[in-house]
Amino acid sequence: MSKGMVLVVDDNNTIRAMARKTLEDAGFSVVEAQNGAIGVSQAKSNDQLKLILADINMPVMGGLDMIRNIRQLAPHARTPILILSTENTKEMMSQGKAAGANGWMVKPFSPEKLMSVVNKLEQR
Amino acid sequence: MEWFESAESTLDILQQTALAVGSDAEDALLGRLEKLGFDVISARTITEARELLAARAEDFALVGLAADVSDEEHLRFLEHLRDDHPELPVVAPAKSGGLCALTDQSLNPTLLTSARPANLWDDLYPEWLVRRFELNVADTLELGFGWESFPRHLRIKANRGRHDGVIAAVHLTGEVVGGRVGLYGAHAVLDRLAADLKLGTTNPAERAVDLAGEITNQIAGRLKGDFARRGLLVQLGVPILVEGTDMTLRFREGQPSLMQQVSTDLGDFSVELCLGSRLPADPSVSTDVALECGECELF
Repeated sequence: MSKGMVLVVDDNNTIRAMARKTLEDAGFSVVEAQNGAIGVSQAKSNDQLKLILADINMPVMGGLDMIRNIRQLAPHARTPILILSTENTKEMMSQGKAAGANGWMVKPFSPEKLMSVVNKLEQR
Repeated sequence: MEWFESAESTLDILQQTALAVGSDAEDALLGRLEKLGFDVISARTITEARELLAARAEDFALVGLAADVSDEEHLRFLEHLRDDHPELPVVAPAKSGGLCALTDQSLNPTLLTSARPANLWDDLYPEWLVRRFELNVADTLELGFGWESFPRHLRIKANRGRHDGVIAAVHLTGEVVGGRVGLYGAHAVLDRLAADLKLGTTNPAERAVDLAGEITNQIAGRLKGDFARRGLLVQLGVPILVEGTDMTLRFREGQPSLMQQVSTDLGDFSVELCLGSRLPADPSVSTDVALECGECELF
């Protein structure tokens, strides 16, 4: 039985694939998007998302804009959103928090670390 | 990257004039500028160049600096260009052919040289048991900063398909024992990864392209953090590539790019790394690095 649906948004195929494998091994179902615009569309189509993993730098629509848009959707006003990014300055993290994200993880990271953070977000 | 999404300012190189500065004994600079389609006016010395610019700067599309200009002369002249002709892009011959754009007008190259990371690869991927990679892209960093040799190197010949309007190819070589999320290198490992993950594509080149893009993205992100610790806000674009040898110098609102020509089995391409920087004039602008790679903060 699935632990819930996670939306993974990243323009890199391998990152999405690795995140998918890590999450599916942990019992989650995964839906993917390769840019922020598709991410918003997926969020509109899936009211029951347990978690959203979001890259920042993506074509078409970036992660911060995507998060702001998703937060406007009533079903996702409080859906946990974790940013996965190569950025690591306080300035960028402040922007992420202001956009509505619940956490920030700097790439590269191990699958174990990712699941540790996912579990913490689940428990909140 | 935001700059990537917005329209870029592209020089129209047809019927434009470049000012080539220095003796350029081997015609490296002159030849490359002419190959790009510029009419070239040469100034043998920096003094002569300053005089030409004072008289007719509006006639020049860019300034090229020949390899023989000494470092001290180079820096003083760059500062002069920054102060008196901020609108002019500046280029120099790259080691491996082609031209590289020099640093942003507002940037002191000496400052960047002193700020370069000492051991980027090992710090970034301490658990990455990769052997025998070669980092060609490091060769693009001609002036301002350069990278030391790495005990393990990543060979990036090109990069394809991740960005609109840019076409190239990629080849990764090396032996991989393990790695972090999203980072794998050798074809053998890519094949195993594809089988394990049931990746949709089975084309090794496409998978390698994808990985090269992500790896270079992470390297760029790490560099930004390293410079931020030194008080520099550095805007680094992920490497993008221009197809063919008739390339266009790319600038976005004065932000130059560093380029390297590479040759691959699929043709000749260039690796382009855009670099722009500004020293934080606004005290409210933070350069504080909050997290290391692999770390997370929950808000």
